[in-house]
Amino acid sequence: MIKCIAIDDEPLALEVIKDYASKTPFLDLKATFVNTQSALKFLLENEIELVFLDIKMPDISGLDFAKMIGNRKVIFTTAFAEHAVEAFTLDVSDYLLKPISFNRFLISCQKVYEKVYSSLPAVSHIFVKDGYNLIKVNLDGLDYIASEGNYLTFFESGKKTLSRMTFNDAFEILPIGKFLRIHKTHVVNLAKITVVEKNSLKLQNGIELPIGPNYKDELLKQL
Amino acid sequence: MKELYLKIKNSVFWEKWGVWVLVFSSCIFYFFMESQELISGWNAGCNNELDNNKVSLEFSNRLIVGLFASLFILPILWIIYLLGNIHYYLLFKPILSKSKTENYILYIILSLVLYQGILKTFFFVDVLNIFDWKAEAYSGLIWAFSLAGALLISFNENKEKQTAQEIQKQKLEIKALKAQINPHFLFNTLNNLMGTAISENAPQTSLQIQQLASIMRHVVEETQAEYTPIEKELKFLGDYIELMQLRVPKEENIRINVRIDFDENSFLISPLILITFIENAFKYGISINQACFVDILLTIENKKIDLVCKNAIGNVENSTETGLESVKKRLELTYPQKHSLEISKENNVFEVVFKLDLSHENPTV
Repeated sequence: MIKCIAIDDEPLALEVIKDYASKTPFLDLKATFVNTQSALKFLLENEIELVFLDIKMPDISGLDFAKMIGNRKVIFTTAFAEHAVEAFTLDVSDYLLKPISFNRFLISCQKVYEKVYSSLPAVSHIFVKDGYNLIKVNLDGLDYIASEGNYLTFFESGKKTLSRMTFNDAFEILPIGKFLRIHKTHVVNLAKITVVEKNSLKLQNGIELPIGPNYKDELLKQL
Repeated sequence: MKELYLKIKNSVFWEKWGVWVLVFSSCIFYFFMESQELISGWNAGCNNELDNNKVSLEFSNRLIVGLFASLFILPILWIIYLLGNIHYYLLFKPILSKSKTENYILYIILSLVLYQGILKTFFFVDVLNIFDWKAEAYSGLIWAFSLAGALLISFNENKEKQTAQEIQKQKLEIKALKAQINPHFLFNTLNNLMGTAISENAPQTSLQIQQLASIMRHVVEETQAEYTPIEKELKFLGDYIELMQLRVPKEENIRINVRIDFDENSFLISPLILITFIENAFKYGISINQACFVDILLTIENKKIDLVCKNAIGNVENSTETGLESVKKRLELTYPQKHSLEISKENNVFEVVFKLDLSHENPTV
């Protein structure tokens, strides 16, 4: 678990982080602050690894505050990217643009987890958008993903979820090394493969998927 | 011919060619008035003869006369310009700047005195008989030219003033717009709205706010960049289309078909071109009272963009097509020879076929 706090002068912005943190299994949000003084006091008394920090605040800039809190990981949250260059010279972990999307939030937190524990967090599920609903996709049950047009379909045992995203978007939130692209239009869960033939492969549930010639070498390497 | 007529009507013609028209007409006038004397004089000079009855010229001699006369074009041009300026600054500007009856009368009297009186008396008195019809015609001609010159100058000056004012106005408008969409204010507010939606347990609202914000951010950020990655542009189009579909009532006689195919071959594109056609299709294609449709087929393969946008013509009266006009201009400037755009209206269907080939293009950000 990563212990973290959030600082933002706008209380409603903290609501967003509270909600997202509660949806992220490896994140433990200890407290939220609307002013930096009480946050600093809390940081001195408690062991905190990660700070979500707004840049534009009335009394002190988030950039200046970040310099005061030692080597704790910082994820900046801001409305506009004009400070991006300065923020990255401070060696912050990431940079979230408001309004923050949950997937983007998750990607940042995974980066921090990787830095703190030098391993990837065990992700058991992801959330994808189906129209205007967030649908939970269990990765253990996910057989494969197919693309059509600018949509991806996530095939779980007995369940299909359609979401407007690209494979690149999907790979950002999928755990590395567990899923592989085998065709222009297919990504497969490596754990589900039972048979690999010349131009196709079979999954546990009997479904046959094509293998693209450009993807075969990589597939053989990964198995 | 139609183009020429429109040019004349829109005064572009007069700005560019007005002076030349004046010059050539003055040359013709000059020849008309003096042809007999010129020819006979030249003839006499060449042949040492002064017999006026024997006026017959070789073709080559006539040509020489013509060329000789055309040498006067530049001085005549200069004289017209000078006369126009004198007329404008002496009479037009001080007297006619106020449109009162007295001013008009004063203008007429002064121009009569100047051109009829002074010109005729001092300029032509030695050369021509003052009561000669030629003296009358010449001074009249000079007056006409100076008036035409002055009109041109005042026309140009008014136009310059107008454009300067328009630019000023546009600057103000842009400033006001920018102040309103100050990105910090806009995105912080949207983030707060999202916070409210989350605390009210309204996940759909929060996703829609995110989508709106992502559209706004793309417009705010990418309008400052010359090129943007196609993936960003496609995400923007997708967000836009999804939000538009929410606005349309879910009824059977409204049919919306969108298909976007992209081969993930990344490249850079001038931002906000494709959106114009899609925006247009939604704007004019959706009707509530009659059956209507919007068909969008976008295929991007090997850095070649192929967009077919069809929509039923709903309300044509409101269509000004200014969006399409400005995108046409942008395409001509940014991608000359690389794009094709066909717009057709047939059987109540509006169709845009847009092709852009960037396979040989390699712009850097």
